[in-house]
Formats: sequence, C-alpha cells, structure tokens
Amino acid sequence: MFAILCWALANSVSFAQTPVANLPGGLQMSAVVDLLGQGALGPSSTAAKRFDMREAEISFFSPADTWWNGTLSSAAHLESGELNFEVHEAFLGSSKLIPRVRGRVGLFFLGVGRLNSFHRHDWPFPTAPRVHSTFFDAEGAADTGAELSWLLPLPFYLDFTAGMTNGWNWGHAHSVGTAPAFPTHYTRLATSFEVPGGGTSLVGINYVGRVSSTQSGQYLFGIDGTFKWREGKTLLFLLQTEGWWRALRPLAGTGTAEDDFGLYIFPQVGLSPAWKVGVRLDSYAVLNIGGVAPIYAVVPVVSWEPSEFTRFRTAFTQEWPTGDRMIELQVSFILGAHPAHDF
Amino acid sequence: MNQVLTKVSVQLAAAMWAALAAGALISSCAPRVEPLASDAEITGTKYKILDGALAPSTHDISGSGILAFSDLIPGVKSDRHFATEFQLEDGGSIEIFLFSQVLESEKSFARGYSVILNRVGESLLWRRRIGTQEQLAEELPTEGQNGIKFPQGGAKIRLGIDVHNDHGHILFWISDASDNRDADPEQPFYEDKVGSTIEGGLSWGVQLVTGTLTKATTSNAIFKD
Repeated sequence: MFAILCWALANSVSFAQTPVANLPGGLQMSAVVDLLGQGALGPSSTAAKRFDMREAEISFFSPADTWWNGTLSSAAHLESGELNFEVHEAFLGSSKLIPRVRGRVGLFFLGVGRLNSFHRHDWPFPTAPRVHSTFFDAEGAADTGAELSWLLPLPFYLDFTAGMTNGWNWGHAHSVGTAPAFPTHYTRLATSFEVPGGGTSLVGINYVGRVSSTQSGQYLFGIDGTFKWREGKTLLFLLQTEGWWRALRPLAGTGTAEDDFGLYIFPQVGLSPAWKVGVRLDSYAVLNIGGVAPIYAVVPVVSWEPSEFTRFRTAFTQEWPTGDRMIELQVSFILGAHPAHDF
Repeated sequence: MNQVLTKVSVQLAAAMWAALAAGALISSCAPRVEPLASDAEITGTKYKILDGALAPSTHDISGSGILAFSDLIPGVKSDRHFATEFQLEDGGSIEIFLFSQVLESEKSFARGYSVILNRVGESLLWRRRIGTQEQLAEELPTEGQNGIKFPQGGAKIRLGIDVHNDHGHILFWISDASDNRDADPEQPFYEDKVGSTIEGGLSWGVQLVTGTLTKATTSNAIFKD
C-alpha cells in the first residue's frame, strides 16, 4: 500500500500548482450542530439528565488540485461538561490517480462497518448501540494513517478496502497513547445487490486488528448490512444491521482472554418524506466470563426531517438486565453544503 | 502498470484475509473464566478469604489478611466503579486490587492495578501500583481537585474508584466517611491517566493489615467521559 501511495504522490507533483479557485467545485464549507437531551426514567438510568450541545462541527472540503481532494473537519464536543475543540477528520483523498482505486491519507474514521463510517449526526438514531460504543466508542474509531479502496473489475459490485493507522490509541483516549506492538490494520469487502421489491443493499464484511504496547491483541470481526427501499425522495423502508465479534488476547501470556459479541438491527418505516418511525433491537454478551449476563435493549425512534438540513428526533431506551431507561431528544441542523454520503 | 497494481492488490487482499483467518483461529480458543466460590458477603458483595486472619461478621471484616470478591469484573475493557469504606489502626494498611488476577495458589493477587493506603498516626499515605508485584508504587497527591479535604489517618475512610479500562483512566473520590455529602461524580479528588488498558485480570479484592472493611460494592462507572 505504501508503494502505491508513493507512486500516486509522485504522479500528482506535476499538477500541484493548479490554483484551487480554477478547479471545479472550489472551496465549500458546512457547519453541523447536534443537540441532545437525555431524561432519566428510573433510578438505574445512565441518562445525562440535561439538554446539551453534543457537537458543533465545521467542515471544509475542496479539490486541493486536479488530482486530490482535501477535507478538514473540526468539532467541539461536550465531554464531562466541558466543550473540547478538536480536529475530527483531516485527510487528502483521491479517486483520480489509479483507475478504480480510491485512497486517502490523514486523520479519518476507519472505513469499516456502517456506523463507524458516518458522523453520528448522520446516524438514524441519536446514540450508539451498546455493541458500537463498547467496541469502537460513543461516536467511532478515528486514527491517522492511510486507506485504499479498490473497486474490483467484476461484472458485479465488489469493493475491497484496506487501511493501516498509527494505533497508538483505540477509540476514546485522554493522551497520545503508546506505540503499539502492531498498528491498527483493517480490511473490508463490500458488495451491493438488488433486493426483492425494488430495494438496494450494501453488505460488508470487516476485520480490524491491533496489538497494544503491552502485547494485548484486539481482533474485531464484523458484518454489516443496509437495505433501502425508496420511492422518489421517500425512504419507504430502511433495514440497517451490524454484528461484531471481539476477541481480546493477551499475547505475552498475562491478562485475561475475552470474547464478546454484539449486534443491533434497526428496521425503519418512512411514513412520508419527513416522518420516519423505527425500532432498534440491541444485544451484547461477553461469551467466556461466568456470571456476566447478556444485555438487551429496545430503542423505538421517531424522526421528523422537514428538509435535508434539519432533523428532530426522539428515542426511548429500555435495557435489560441493567434497568437503564431513558428518553432522548435530538435536534440537529446543517448550514451550508454538507458533503454527500455513500449509500 | 495495471497488471502490477492488480497483482499488488490481489496479494494485499490475500495477506489481509489470511490475517483475518489467523485472527479467527486465535479467537476460537478463549478459555472460560468462572467466578470464585464465596465464603461470605459484605454489603451484598460475595467474597472468599484467600489468606490471613480475617474475622468476618455480618456487617464488616476486620483483622489482617487478603480476600477476593467472587463476582468477576464483566469485561477486560469495561468501565466500573468500586466503592469501599474502611478504618485502619495505627500502622495498619489496606491495598485494593482492581482488574487483577488471583494467583493459582489462591493466596494473593498478581498484576492489575492497586491502591495502597498506610496509616501512620493521623497521617495517611496513599500510593498506586500498576502490575502489583512488578512495579514500585507511586505516591498520589493529597491536595484534591474538588475542594474535599484529604481524610485523617484515624478516620473512617470512604474511597470510590472509577476504572475506565477501555483507555486506562482511573478516578478517585476519597473523603472522611463522617462527611455526609454525596460525592459529585463530575468532581473526582484525583485522576490517574494511565493511558492504556490495564492488562491484569477480572478480579478485585482487598489486603488488610490491622484494619476493618465496612463496605465493598461495584457498579457501572459514575464518571461520564
């Protein structure tokens, strides 16, 4: 992958002097504000019990030259009651250097799974299912490195992605971390096919691995599927699901090995272009530790999206056996030209 | 060039999926870990005495010795809160082992993270140790971040510890137990940013030297981060 990136960089040098203003598209920017309120329902609730600005994100994206596109996204996150401003994503990408190949280098959310590939204000529910928050983070796993995707020359859609990032940290962190014994590496194979009733699908299988500085191996294996049935602008039905298996292995002979598995499934009905109703079913279980009960949750979600730029959403969460119960209200809006997302 | 790229890509794909298969192989053999058998319980938490001369009663455990709580911490990278209350005699100490492993001899703990408090007269020295036997303990500050006064050695002490073990963030709430104010979950006394997962084990327990333990419970982490 490194050799391919070097070749791509060398090819781009001769075009580096093209002024951005002369390129199609030019510099675009957008701002996203994501407000979230959580109300506790019962003594075991983990709700924040307040209405907060969860995130304010400002993004710039533009062709850097004829060959490369640049993206810079910064976000202010609410963390422990304080707003922390940080660079969310900053990467240079291209799909023009090598036929059928897309690449990016920089800081980005790893291109694996479904939720991890999207900023959370674009998710169809306000907060992450337990499997995602446990294995990735409240939003997702981002890191600095390089990623290549190759659309295979086949008569059907098959997209192969591979990436490698620093791996000094994984998910949530308060420090720069420590140099891993083996950096974060990942791969994804995705395909798309039509489904009965005029629907379209995107299904992927995923692997993410990392060995920490203390010789602790983390291996994630996942499958995700997104199925959409549309009529004009109305998303009539959405079915989104992900299942992940995590294996933690102490490779230096100390510590405890752990296997855990979790999944969510989210069917959603579009009542009109603006109104959507869905229910998310979650489960998570540690497989090899005695006395630890599996966790289940039901999360009904109602969304009102009067346009592509404003969203009002409410969700109710009931989790067993933790007894965690809460109600959530999410309000988010976009100013400017938000970049288009994949399927 | 296209042929070279295709060859490189196919080799890369083969290598990655071979790694995936190897990972699957590694994953298929995680040994099952079971809770310890218990002798008794304190504040609803079951425990087993590993060594020493501890005198359990219905509401406390006193003396000198070492015990392990029976229920395992529910995950290597889980976020847990550990709440304890105890009182030490002059010269006494307590070591609280977290994310540790009970030795095969079932006499003590190995690895993990531990907090040690020693009483000398009315002063209280507290330290933390990562890797229990392998590393020296480091002193922790007695000036808090939350305005709460560090307790005197002879006081009944309330110590709450949050371990966010997905990223090695440990938070402490320590106070005199006679202070009836509830600890503010957002205002810990001290934060220890270890920065990486503690790779010890899934057990927790206490080593007492001439002291009395009156409370030991565990729950979900109380600090949101």
